[in-house]
Amino acid sequence: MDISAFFENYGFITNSIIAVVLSSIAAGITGTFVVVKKISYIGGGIAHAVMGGLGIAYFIGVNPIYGALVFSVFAAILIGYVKLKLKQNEDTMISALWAVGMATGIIFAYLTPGYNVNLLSFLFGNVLMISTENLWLLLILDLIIAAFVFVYYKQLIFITFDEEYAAVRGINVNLLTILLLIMVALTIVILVQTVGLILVIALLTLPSAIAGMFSNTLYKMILLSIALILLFSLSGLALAFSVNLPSGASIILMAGAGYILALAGKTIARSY
Amino acid sequence: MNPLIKIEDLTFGYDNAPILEKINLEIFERDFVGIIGPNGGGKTTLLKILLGFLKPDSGSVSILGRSPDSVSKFIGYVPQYSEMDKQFPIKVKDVILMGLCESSSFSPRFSQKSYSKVYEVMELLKIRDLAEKKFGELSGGQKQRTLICRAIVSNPKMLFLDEPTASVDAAIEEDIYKILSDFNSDITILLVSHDVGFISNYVNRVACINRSLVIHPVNEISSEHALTHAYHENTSVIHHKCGL
Ligand SMILES: Nc1ncnc2c1ncn2[C@@H]1O[C@H](COP(=O)(O)OP(=O)(O)OP(=O)(O)O)[C@@H](O)[C@H]1O
Ligand SMILES: [Mg+2]
Repeated sequence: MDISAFFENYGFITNSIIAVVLSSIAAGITGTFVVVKKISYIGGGIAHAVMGGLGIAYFIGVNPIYGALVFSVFAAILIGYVKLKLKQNEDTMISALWAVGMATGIIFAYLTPGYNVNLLSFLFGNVLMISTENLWLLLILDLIIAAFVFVYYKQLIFITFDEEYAAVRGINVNLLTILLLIMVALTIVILVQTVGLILVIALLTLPSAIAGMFSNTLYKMILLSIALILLFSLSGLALAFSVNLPSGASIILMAGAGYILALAGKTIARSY
Repeated sequence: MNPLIKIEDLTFGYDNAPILEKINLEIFERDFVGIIGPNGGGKTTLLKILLGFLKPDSGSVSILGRSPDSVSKFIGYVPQYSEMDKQFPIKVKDVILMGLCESSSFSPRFSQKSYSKVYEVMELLKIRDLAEKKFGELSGGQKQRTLICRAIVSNPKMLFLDEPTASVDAAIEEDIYKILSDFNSDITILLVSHDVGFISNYVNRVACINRSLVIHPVNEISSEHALTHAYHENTSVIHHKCGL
């Protein structure tokens, strides 16, 4: 079989592998911060708010990923504002965004003729169907996230570890916290493509939690997270291809199994 | 001489009831001020106002002639409690390096010079051998010494310490006070402590805070024999003298 025929028949495999690699990088970086900053609930809220953006984008007929971008960044800024400026407990706001986002999405999707199939792929992800346009967008988002964390690496660790002392040192804690939440939002948009918005939060927490068990610096935790997500995603994809299962769910099952194994391994290691 | 820190008629409350009321205080270069007072008297609150975390309800606070949050980077601060997450993946030396972090250092790595400065202060506090340990795995006293290192590593102009020796052993406590005494030849120190008798050997003034503030020159404090014992006795003596 020559190469062009290969791509014609199996191009979707190459595309989905590229998508998985790109999303692993973003998820490993962001997941590490989500775990050490303990903001998985915020991640869950943003992920579900994204549904509103997807529904509206379908309704007006633009690429749903742009709707997702607008909604996720908006949700991140709103949560950040409530947390930092109003000094209110952000839980209520998160729950509201979570539910209202979903409701908005469902209503707009309902109003759009022939929505069912596509919307389901956003709920549970379908990396096998990813378009080249979206791949490029994934790459750009990845670069933004990586550059942000590279440039502000020290400050980001610092505001996560000890916000108060970071403020003493003259670091703009509020601005960086909002930017960090926007980074979570962008990563969620990436991951909605691969595992879907319902399962996003598992991929942002399980691998990084495993990595945290074996890391004594943050950059090691990031690198280990990326490696683990790659492992779970590729093995999940392999499972999905070989026995024809939904890809997103297969990836998450791999991550869940990995987490249980790591916990068990750690417990056994401690008792000896 | 212009005061380094000038507090005028400061009143502050978290909700309604004032925690600090009509406080006036001037602190000059190379002062070493001991802050004492009962639990809940407002000592930590005062430091947080001086660091710009809390804003006064009325009155004014200026440090180096400017507002507290714009000059806090010249201040080294040792908090009373370290509420950091035990699981956080960070080494002891990296916690201290944060004392050198600035809003505009845009590189993931610190310079060699920063590291040698960090090791220098670690030697001083006798924790050099803990450099590679995870911060969350330290004992309470080791953590406190790490946070003192973080506060002094940047050569601050002022040092605010909130009960920095609450969980260190007697030998280290003595060391810490000697180190602070040395530093005091160039920097101004505010030290919250319950150990009145002990600090009176080092400080030149004592501020007694229980909602309002009364300041004593140190000889007034150290002449009290009763002050060498338990804190309850101390407070009662000072209460009496302050009329609080
Ligand atoms: N974040 C807060 N919100 C509301 N009230 C507070 C807060 N922090 C402190 N307080 C109240 O302010 C008062 C002064 O507290 P502060 O921590 O300044 O006391 P302190 O003198 O440092 O006491 P200690 O010796 O126990 O450290 C206390 O009555 C406390 O209940
Ligand atoms: Mg206190």
